[in-house]
Amino acid sequence: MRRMGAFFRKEMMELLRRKKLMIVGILFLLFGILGPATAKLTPEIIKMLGDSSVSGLTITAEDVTVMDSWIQFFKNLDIPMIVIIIMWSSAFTTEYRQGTLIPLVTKGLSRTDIYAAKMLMLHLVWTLGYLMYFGVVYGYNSYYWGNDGVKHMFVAILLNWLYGAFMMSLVGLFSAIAESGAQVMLGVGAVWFLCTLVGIVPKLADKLPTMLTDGMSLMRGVKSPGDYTIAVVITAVLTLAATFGGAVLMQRKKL
Amino acid sequence: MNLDQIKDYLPLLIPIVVIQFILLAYVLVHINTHKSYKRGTRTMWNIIAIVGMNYVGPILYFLLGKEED
Repeated sequence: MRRMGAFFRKEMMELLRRKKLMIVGILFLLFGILGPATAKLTPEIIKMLGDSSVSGLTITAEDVTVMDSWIQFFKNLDIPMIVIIIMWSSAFTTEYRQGTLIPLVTKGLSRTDIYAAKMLMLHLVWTLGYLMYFGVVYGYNSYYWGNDGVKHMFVAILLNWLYGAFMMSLVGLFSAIAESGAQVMLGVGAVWFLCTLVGIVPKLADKLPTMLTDGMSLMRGVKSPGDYTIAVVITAVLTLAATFGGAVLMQRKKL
Repeated sequence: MNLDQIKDYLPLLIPIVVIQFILLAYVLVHINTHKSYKRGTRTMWNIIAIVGMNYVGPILYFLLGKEED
């Protein structure tokens, strides 16, 4: 445990010195602002389109509600998440390439400690970033529209967090196999693509991890939290399997 | 847009402006305290950062100019 703590501190230093934390923070903050801003500006944009009177179309703007802003919340989340995955895709592989893990392992630091410290850091960054993102959107939404009509908000938020955690654990799993950052990205992308592909089958769609990103149905009250049970169980099992699978594969990884 | 509408948007605008200037300040300090860049010269990067201060300049510098320490 103490050894893992030491390695974790090294990871922390890297996070701060390479300005990774700053980039992730600014990204989540900006995309957090973007959601409510888009919702707020939509009527203005539609009005401008209507004024042009070139098309001859009459466009009537519907009133923007808090739901429009929450739609943006789930839509915009993709980009900061992809950026985190890209940034961390080389967290392990750069160290393999430069051979910087070899001295640590020969001095007695176990591979499990290395893996655990790196994964802990990744999950921490994702969780804190997501919390901040949610905080920003929640703040603006209650300021502009009020969050009263939103159902099961915290369940929806939690489900989406689990989906992100699943993606992060995939980064760990593929980092224990792959040789380069591109391979890690390819692996995570392939799993995501597979989920989307299988999701075309209507019977399977509500059992996949991608189901968890559909927080809007919960917030609108179309679905109840119970509808997500199977998806949550499957995602949790897959997340744990990927995490422990990565730890096991890490033992045999050529450093 | 009249003044009332702009007031309505202020809570959205202020953080965006603040982040913009923080980034600009950080990038300007970084440019002028480092001797070499991936490509380009100090004068060029100063001009790009200031002309494109609405996020474009700093992001360009991070992508194309800033050397890994």
